[in-house]
Amino acid sequence: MRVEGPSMEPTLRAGQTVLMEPWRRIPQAGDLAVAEHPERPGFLLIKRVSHQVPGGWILLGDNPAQSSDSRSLGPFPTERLIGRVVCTFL
Amino acid sequence: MLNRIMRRLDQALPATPVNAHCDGPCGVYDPASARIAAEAVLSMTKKLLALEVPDSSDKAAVVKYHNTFSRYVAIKEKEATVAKNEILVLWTDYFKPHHLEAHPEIHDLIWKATKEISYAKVECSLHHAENVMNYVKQIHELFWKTKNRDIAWYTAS
Repeated sequence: MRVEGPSMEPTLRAGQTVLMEPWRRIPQAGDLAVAEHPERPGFLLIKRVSHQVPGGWILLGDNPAQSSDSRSLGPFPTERLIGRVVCTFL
Repeated sequence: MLNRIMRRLDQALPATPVNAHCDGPCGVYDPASARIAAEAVLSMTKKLLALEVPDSSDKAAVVKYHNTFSRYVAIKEKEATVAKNEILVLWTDYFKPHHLEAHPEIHDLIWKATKEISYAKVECSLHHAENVMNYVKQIHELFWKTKNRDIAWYTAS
């Protein structure tokens, strides 16, 4: 998948390619997650897993100044978490 | 090496976009701020319409009347401008093209609401001030629908 936008800088830059696999274990803090936007079906986001709360997972961008994430969108329900980034390419 | 292979692969099979997404500086929007300003417009309109004109020979009462009248008008003007601005911010900053696809009435609703605020500002009309509240309520309902949240409409007064 190709990254678009600035919210995961400096970890990921726009234009980088990442490889994702569907979850094979419970998400852990620090995992890079691909998740569906809670208000926009089919719109995929890439964020970092922070922690689990009742109702889902808190996902945050690595670049909080330029990120729409659980701070404004709330927890992501488990079924919105599509997969885990296993590999990033330059 | 792996990166080169990936680039080749990517050219042949373009990757799905995944968004390290940002809505804006804070992403905090709420039609409540427009509602509070619209309520002030309605309240000032009611107070203006209820003001009793004093006997013109009672100078102190006349001065008091004009002072109060001017203050009500000033607040009505100011809060109407606030309400209009809050609605326009939702329109230009919050609502996105995919909201418009799901709710094609957004443009017309914003247009009518902001027009109605202008009428409520220019005139001192209970009819227009109540219409403004009604439009703000419709915007409230549409806004929270786009967030899949059921937020009840309420007023402060």
